[in-house]
Amino acid sequence: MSEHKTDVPYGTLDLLILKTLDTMGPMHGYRIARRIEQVAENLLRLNQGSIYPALMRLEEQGWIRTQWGISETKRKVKFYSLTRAGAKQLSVAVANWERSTALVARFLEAES
Amino acid sequence: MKLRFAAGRLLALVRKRRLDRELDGEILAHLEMAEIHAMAAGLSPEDARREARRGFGGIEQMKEDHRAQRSVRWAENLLRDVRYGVAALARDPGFAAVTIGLLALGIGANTAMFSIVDAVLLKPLPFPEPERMVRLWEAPTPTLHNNTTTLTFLDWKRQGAIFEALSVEEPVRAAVATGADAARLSGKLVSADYFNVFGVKARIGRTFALGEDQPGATPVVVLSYSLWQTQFGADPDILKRDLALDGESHRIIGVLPAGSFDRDEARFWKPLIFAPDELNRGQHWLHVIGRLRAGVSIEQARANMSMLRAGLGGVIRKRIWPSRWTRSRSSWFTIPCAARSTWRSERFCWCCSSPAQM
Repeated sequence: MSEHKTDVPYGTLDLLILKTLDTMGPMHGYRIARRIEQVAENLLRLNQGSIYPALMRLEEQGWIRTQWGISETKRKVKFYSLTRAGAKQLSVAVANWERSTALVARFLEAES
Repeated sequence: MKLRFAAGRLLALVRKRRLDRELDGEILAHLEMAEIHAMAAGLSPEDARREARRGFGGIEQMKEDHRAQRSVRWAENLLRDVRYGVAALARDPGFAAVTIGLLALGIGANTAMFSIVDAVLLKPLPFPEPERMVRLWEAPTPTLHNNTTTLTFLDWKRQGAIFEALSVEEPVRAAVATGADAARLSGKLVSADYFNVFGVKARIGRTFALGEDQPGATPVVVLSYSLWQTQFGADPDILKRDLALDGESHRIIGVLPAGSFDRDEARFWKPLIFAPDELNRGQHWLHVIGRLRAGVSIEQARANMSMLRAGLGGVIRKRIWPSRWTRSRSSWFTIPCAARSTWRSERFCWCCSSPAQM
């Protein structure tokens, strides 16, 4: 079944995480991964573990912040939430994404 | 720079351990939740565990990735900071100079402050039983100085049970002619008891005798060791000579030991004799120092001064602050006003009367 799934497009995982946090508010890692999978409706092949290095990266950029909280399973886990800088970065990334997909789309139309 | 790198490394090490631990916790929680989720979807516990692992992907590889991510970022940040700092300083040498200068000033000022604190507050005075030495003031009031008056001083002086010695100490300057050249020298006007307060004996000759601060006494003077050395060429027959202060001849009765009394401006000491018109309670001009009798505590002295004050018909209010004398004679001798705040914080004896009620 995995043949039908695509890998996460290069460089878009950060965008997916930022958007998820923007829509859903503070969440822990597992919820973020689940949410991305649900929205992708099984079209995406996501190694759930790969979101943790991405979260680390985003935190160091100052786009997300972490707080300790308690999970549904009563464990102490990190909850991630969007910072103001992260919200700004999200709009920039969304604009960039739209510009490049539009560009690619235009090429494809012209070629066909 | 080296230090900063070392500190950075150390921090990174501490940070690495913490982050690794946190990440392990997150992975565990994640797998647990994934397992529960899978079981809720109908899988057996074993399958659920396998499914959770599969969904998560390679754990060790992810950890490596996580570590690489943050160490790169860490090193990058540090390097960028350093590079930016160096570039900014190189771009603007003036600013760099000012920055370095300010840092140097700051460090220097701190060192200087500590030297002062060390000298004034921490080291004991170089006199026998310095804890018995006290300074006496009147209560400060908004309008009047808390120096005391001649008559109040004489009242205090009658407290023989508390004070072994009590003396005034007023700075003075006088023209001194020694040989061909004349100079203005700093000195002190003091009571005959003055050197008993310090417990200091003369190196040559003697210090003041009882009564030499009374009207009609022969004018006498005590010299500092440095004055004896510089102005009198360490003359061994110094006691046969006179010193003219502002043209008035004074018999030299003694030379002080070297050291403590040379650090100050004062080069000579002569008795302060109260003129009849100075005997009043209106002029607050005297600085008073004293030595408590052996065995008299600061609290006893304070209580005694309170009684004295009550005995004077409510004229004098007393407060004695415990004191510890400073080693630095310069602060103690030359800048009593500036040092007063310092002394206040010390265990100085602070006898206070209320001049406002007089």
